[in-house]
Amino acid sequence: MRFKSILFFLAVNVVVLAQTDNEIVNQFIERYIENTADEVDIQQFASDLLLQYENPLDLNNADATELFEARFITNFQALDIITHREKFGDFINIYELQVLETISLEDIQNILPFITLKSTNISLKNFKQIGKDGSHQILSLVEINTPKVRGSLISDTLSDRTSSHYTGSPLYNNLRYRFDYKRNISFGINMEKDAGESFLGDNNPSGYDYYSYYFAARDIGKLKALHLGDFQANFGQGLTLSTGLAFGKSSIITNSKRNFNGFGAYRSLRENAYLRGGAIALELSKATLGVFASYKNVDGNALEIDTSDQEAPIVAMSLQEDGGLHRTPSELADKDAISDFQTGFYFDYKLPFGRIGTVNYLRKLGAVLEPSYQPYNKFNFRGDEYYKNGLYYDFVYRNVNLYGEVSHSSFEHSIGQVHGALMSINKALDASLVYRNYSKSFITLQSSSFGESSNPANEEGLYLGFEARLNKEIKLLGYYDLFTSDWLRSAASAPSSGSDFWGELQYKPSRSFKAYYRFRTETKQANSEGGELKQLSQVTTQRHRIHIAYTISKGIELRNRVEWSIYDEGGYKSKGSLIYQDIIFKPFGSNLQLSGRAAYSVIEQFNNRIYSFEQVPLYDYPLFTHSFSGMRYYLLARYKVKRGLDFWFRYAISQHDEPLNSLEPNYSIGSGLNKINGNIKRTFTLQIKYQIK
Amino acid sequence: MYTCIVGRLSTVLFVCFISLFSYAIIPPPNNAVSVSLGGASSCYRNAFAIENNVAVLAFSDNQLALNGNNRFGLGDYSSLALAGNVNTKLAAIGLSYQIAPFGNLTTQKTGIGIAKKLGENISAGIALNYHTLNSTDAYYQSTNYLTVSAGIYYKINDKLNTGFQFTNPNRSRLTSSPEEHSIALYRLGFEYAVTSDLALYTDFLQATEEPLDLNAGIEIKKEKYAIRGGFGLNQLVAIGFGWQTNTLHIDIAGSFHNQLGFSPSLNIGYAF
Repeated sequence: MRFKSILFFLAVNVVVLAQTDNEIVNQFIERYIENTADEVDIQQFASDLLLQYENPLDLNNADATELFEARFITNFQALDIITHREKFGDFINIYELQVLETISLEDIQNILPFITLKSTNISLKNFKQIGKDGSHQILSLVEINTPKVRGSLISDTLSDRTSSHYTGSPLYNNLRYRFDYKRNISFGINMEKDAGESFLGDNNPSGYDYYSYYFAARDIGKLKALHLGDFQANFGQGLTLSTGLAFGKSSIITNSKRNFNGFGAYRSLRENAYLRGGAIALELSKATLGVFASYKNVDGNALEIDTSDQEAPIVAMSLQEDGGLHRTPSELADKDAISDFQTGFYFDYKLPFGRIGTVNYLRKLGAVLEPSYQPYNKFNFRGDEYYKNGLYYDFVYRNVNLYGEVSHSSFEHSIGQVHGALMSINKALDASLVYRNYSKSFITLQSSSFGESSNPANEEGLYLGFEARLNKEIKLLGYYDLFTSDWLRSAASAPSSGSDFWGELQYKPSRSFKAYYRFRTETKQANSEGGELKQLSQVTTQRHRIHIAYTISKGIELRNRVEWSIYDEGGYKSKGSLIYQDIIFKPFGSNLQLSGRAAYSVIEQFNNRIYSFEQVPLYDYPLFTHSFSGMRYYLLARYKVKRGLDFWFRYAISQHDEPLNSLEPNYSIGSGLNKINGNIKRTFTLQIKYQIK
Repeated sequence: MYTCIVGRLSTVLFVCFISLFSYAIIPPPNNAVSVSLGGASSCYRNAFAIENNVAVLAFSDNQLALNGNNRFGLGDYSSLALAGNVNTKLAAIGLSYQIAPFGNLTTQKTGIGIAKKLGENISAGIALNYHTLNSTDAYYQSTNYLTVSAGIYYKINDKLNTGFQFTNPNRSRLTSSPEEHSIALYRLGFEYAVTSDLALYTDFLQATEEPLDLNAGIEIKKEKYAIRGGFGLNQLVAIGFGWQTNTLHIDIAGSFHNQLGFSPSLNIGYAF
């Protein structure tokens, strides 16, 4: 038996060593993003994962926070590792992991590059080695769509050059540099020009439209974190302060828990979602104290009510925390229109059974936020200054992980709270339970707490998730979520409620084949169309997916999917469906890798849209929305020129079916300035990555 | 034992459960076995696999088969098809011919396919079809065009097989004015052998500009006899019987549409 195990792990190591960092990182990105339809900060996620890959985590010395924070294991697996260490002490060999019920042999194969049993602490004595041992990475991506969109066709916009044309070329480009020394020192700069934005023009004389730069040091002696330039701040369950994006509900049921851990380097291309200034956190025995200050300008549609009155405050309808498109004169007018100052501190204390902490911050904006007065946003934050205080906890007791956060915001002294439990009930069953209650006036700016809505306000809900390993081949998992809103929502002119059910049956009879069937049904109350009196009706969206993947020989994998959705709004039903064939060709030892897809979708209306994960260059956004009827093809080639130098080339086509009864003489795709003539859209993408280590 | 039962039960439920979500309109099945399985035949091994999933030919016995098909008892809506396949050292080769006279419009299709095993449990195939439309009608134009189809067949284990075929993805042009194109069809299917005598079949079919369709069928075999049943909303329900010796295969089937009526189909096959 032991001999077999050794042989197995030798084989595992061969497989793992044969994979490149990009492939391994891509596997995890796919695993997470394939299971969610939420917006994900792919650059930040991939960067964090790559850093974890390059600096494996010491399984014996990592504390519970670090284990929960690790992207390559689930919360249940982290819980299992913690429990195992408490019972049996340190891991002697990394292959001890196979005795844990939540970690399969395939999991071990996947996480092997991310873990170690060797301590990798850094001290100031070897500080001068940083320059020598660190790694430099330069990465650039260029993308262009054809034909040109309406906004880029100058002849179409001569009549109105003031607001309805793009000021720059249709080319998208980003350029990124980063330096990393283990997990401890890093700095870098990110630049981006979106399609339609000008480059070196009057609007962007310095070149790119977006620049972000950072310096970060962490875990050096008592210095837990030091950040200069752009950084992110995420605490507790993301209720009080979270500048990043978090995963929502998905088949990874432990995604209901946030594993935020303070300040972090900002490596994303999201153009407003960062703090700019300085942050420092010191670790004093079991306590950690951190402070930060930030000043930047954010996008927003600021309006001067009375330009003759210098004392009159600037009023803004909204704050674009996740904006970033500055293509037209009107979008440029909103760029950096509102000043944003923030400062705060956090205190975190480690206990024998977990940790507890508090985070507090103040934000002062250069404009008074005044959303348009609608009944549904009556309780939305209005003003130019607010503060939030939060208390969070994360306890592990035996096979149970309890966590939560209670937060107070200054606007109407509103309260938000979320509490959850992860439980390994027995060897075959794990469960997750989350209760949240966000008052209707709770300030949702810079929050990413768990919930039905991306804004944690006006919602109370209870979530129950489970994962059952029926046998070695079959796994059943899912969740049921109930939620209510005490006040109106934009789509519901009365208090409303809803539910969300997700069920998934996974079948994996061998290493070369896996399949799953997924069913999701979500029911909400929403305004019904027609009639003078607005009333709520039930809106139900059902989604079914069957996915199979099989390896037909070394380096060749095929994948098939069929998915369909049924949208039912008060008895009126519409349908959508998708079927595709993937081929992924990764010959052993070859520098060239190819992957491609042919997909066909029939979508009756936008509510039936279907998402699918596509193979893309590293860091590029991989989720495609099938919101039309027609074909979708792509081909991705990655070529490794030499160690550290990689090229990606991608060609994608979306070919819309022209409606048989279309009255339009010239069929077009899209609307507004993004409209293109014809029924075919082509996208070319080229990326180069050069890494020196 | 418990593991075995749970595994088997889950797979049966898996196949049956997804069968509940069947709707849509899809081209009719092309032979009696396919009719009786409700159209779920992308994993079925016989000579007509050249139409349903050409890759399956690599695992099929040599056979020559004739099919006569009538739709809804309408004399004008009948078709005849001939299909054969032979395994060679290099690959399996299949041929097919189909003629369907319909009033003033006669369609003919001649196909040649090749399928090859890529391993012990997987095969791939490709087929070319030449279509002829002869019309004496003033509206329809006589035309010829070529379509291509390709498929993959994978034996996951002793009990479960899957197959995928796409047909005419480039949507060959039928007429230029007005511009009309023939449909593309994508098909993903599963076969689950519950026991050596009982098998379940399920196919998802996606045709251009049509909603997704799903068909399901069951086949029970006892010595020389087979009884089959299937359903799909395009034909609602179907039933069929088979009788075979070592060399002769006869299959009959009937499908029942709730509005259009009864459609019989007959296969006569010779295995060699």
